[in-house]
Amino acid sequence: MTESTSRLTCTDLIATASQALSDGGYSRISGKFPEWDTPTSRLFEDEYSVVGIVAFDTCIELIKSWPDVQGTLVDVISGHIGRQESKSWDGYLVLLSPALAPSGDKEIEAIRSNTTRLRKLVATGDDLRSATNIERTLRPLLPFGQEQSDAALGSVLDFLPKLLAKSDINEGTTQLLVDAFREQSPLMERLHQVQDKQ
Amino acid sequence: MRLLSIKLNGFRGFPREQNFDLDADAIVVIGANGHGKTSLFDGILWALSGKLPRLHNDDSRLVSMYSETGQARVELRLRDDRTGDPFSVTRSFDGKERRVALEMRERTYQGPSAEGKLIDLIWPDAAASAEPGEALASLLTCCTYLQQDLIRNFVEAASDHDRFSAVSELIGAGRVTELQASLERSKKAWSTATNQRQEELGPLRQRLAIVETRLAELTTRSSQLSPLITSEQWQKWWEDLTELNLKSVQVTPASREAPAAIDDAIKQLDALRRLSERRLDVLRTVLEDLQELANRATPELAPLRESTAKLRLELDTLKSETSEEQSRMAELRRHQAELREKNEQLKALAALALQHLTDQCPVCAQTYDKNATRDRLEAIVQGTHDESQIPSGPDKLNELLIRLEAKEKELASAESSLHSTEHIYNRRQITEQTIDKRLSEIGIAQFDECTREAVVSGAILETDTLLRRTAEMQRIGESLALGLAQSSAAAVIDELRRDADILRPDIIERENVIDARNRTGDLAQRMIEGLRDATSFVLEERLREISPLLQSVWTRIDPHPAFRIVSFFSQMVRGKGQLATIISDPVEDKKCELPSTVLSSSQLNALAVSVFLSLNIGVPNPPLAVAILDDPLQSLDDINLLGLVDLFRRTKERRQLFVSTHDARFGSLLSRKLRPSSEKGRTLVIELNAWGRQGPTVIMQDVKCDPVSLRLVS
Repeated sequence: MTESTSRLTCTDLIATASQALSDGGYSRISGKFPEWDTPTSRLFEDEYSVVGIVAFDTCIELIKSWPDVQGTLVDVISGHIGRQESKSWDGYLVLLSPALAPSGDKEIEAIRSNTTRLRKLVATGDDLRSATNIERTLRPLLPFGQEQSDAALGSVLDFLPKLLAKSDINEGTTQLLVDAFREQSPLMERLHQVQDKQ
Repeated sequence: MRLLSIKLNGFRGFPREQNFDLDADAIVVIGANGHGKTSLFDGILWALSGKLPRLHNDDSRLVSMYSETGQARVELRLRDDRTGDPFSVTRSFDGKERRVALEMRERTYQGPSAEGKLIDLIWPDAAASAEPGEALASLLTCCTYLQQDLIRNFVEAASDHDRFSAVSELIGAGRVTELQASLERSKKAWSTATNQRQEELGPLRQRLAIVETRLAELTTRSSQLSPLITSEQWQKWWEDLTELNLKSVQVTPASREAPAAIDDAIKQLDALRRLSERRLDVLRTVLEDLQELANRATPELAPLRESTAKLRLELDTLKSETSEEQSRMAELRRHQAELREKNEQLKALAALALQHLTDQCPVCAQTYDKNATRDRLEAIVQGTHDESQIPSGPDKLNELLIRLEAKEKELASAESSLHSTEHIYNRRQITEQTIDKRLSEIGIAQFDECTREAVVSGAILETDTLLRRTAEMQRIGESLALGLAQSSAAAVIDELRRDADILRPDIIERENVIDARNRTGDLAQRMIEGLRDATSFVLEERLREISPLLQSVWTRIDPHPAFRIVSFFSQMVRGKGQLATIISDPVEDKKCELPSTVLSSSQLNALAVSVFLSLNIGVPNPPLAVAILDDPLQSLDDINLLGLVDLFRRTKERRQLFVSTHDARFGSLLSRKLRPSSEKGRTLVIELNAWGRQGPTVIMQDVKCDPVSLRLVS
């Protein structure tokens, strides 16, 4: 995998995307659909959706080929998943290219905005400067993960003694103040009692 | 905390009782506008917090106009994920009274205890707030319930400070802010009370200064005083006073009346002294008068009066002679004048007759001696005839006048001498009378004229002796009074010392208390500043933790082709926190702190939902693990809508998700996208149709999962 300054290759893109989807709970479908099992294309499935990833060396190729690629993915889905099943409506096509789009973003944006048959996630050139950019492109498909910081941190009031200690205020004194606040006791009287003892 | 069911009756758009099963991972509510979607979610918020900020907490708007009972009632059942125990909250409002009940497994709480217990169950942090219900409602509307009409408020309308406050509340820093505000209020009251004590100390210090000054004065003066009076001195003075016949009430020196008694006695002595002085003055004056009388003989008036009378007679005689002489001389002068007039007439007649002289009288024709007649006539004309001679006598008048003047002078001198002597005499008489009167006045009436000088001299001696004695008595009396005052001063000194002994420790104690209170005030001020920094610090820390999530959520929708980075920016400006949402273009390195200026309505909605969900999911201890979004899909174009639905699918894995939509087609998409992934999960669709005065027609159905989760892999 290549990082940062040098441009990513298709291999980088496919490898990184595959890893991200695998980490996100997707299973790679290999050895079943040859056209989706190449160095530049992969097929993944999870309990909700089917995801096809294709990397193109150039944006021209991407713009030219994406309808066919979409068609093959639709065929795969429709061929194996019944129309009554919800998953048959949950197909995603991820189109990647390390090259810059020749006419700006307009055509790429048009592909991204096209919602017929499948949802398309498209990233090219500047969008793909690093591996993290690929993960960002795939994010709509991934569960909330590392970016979520919902560890139970407790009440902010509990942190005050340590925070106010930076201002040279005794931790015990701050704790007494917090306790008084929680008990709705007179704050200054409680502080005064501490001062008296000291 | 998971919502299990809700029962609405008479509440907002549900005039009749309506039960909703909510025990699902995702609940999709589909209904046209005005069919009760928002009422359903409002019911959840009201049941939990007792507030509906969206309606400005106007309870009168809670009761449905078509309610048969005339009251709004909501019963919300929940399950505590920590214990697995279900409980229910029931609120009602009949237009006047509000009731709340919390039914738990072990007991049922009512009223304030129910509110307190509910806060304790849902969000214990809010208990420290002055208004827990409002704090909870604010928090729920910020991160749990994204209301349809406030959907873009967070990124569009709210000020940076409002946003800061809302997020502070959300991440728990709101309690720090409340603690800070509470401490500031408490410190203000504390400072006022301390200042009051300081003001009270002023008069005490002033009083001590006065006491110490007086003490110093009295102590210095007492050291200069003569020894204290003895009882013998005291007794003798009062006896002497009695000898002088002065009315006095003798008291003991130690008695309280002593100063007044001695003061009264001294005043009497003073009066006696003044009286004696006046008597002595009178006696001395009388003595002087007597001595003067003795030195001058009584003048003899009779000879003077006789000689004066004689002179007056002589003067009168002389005046009479003079008057007679003057009369005689006047008569003589009159006679001489008549003669002179007659002579003139005769001269005229003689001259006329000479002219007409003939031998015979022309009148009577008698004959006469013409020559003799001529001679006579010529003698008459010449004035040489005998009858024309004017008689004259001796003139004594001048002599008389000279004598009269001399006599008058002599009389004047005699009268002057008499007058002077009479004056001396009269003055002597007056002096005598004055002496008598004065002596009578001072009580010396009976005395012999010859010995009166000796009597007066004796009286002078006696009065002078009395005067000296009185003065001496007065001096001793004042000395005694001074002695008494000295004794009194000693008592005052003792009293002042006692006062000072009480005041000094009292003031020191008060000063110590004030110092201690000031130290506490200083500590509180440091803590206030620390809390202010802590609020900002905590917020920044939490926002830093939430930022990746915000970015993740925004990317999942990815509504803008350029502005693909979103972040929070917080800062403290003049002690006030500000929070902005910044979108940026990483390719062109452009930033915008006012997303509403560059994003479309659809994109703004996406941003609002991103912020809401990132806060909902990113908050460490949310009151409820629930996300409620009331029709968030308005104005979204297809691609953003798909992104949002994919986002909801992932949100459902972390939160019990409630989404409503007015679009049936989109509702169908949501139902399919949010389907359970297995039999363990559950997704409910609630359709609200055909609203009438009875309320909407409600259809609830489960969304089934796919029969095989992985089709291609298998």
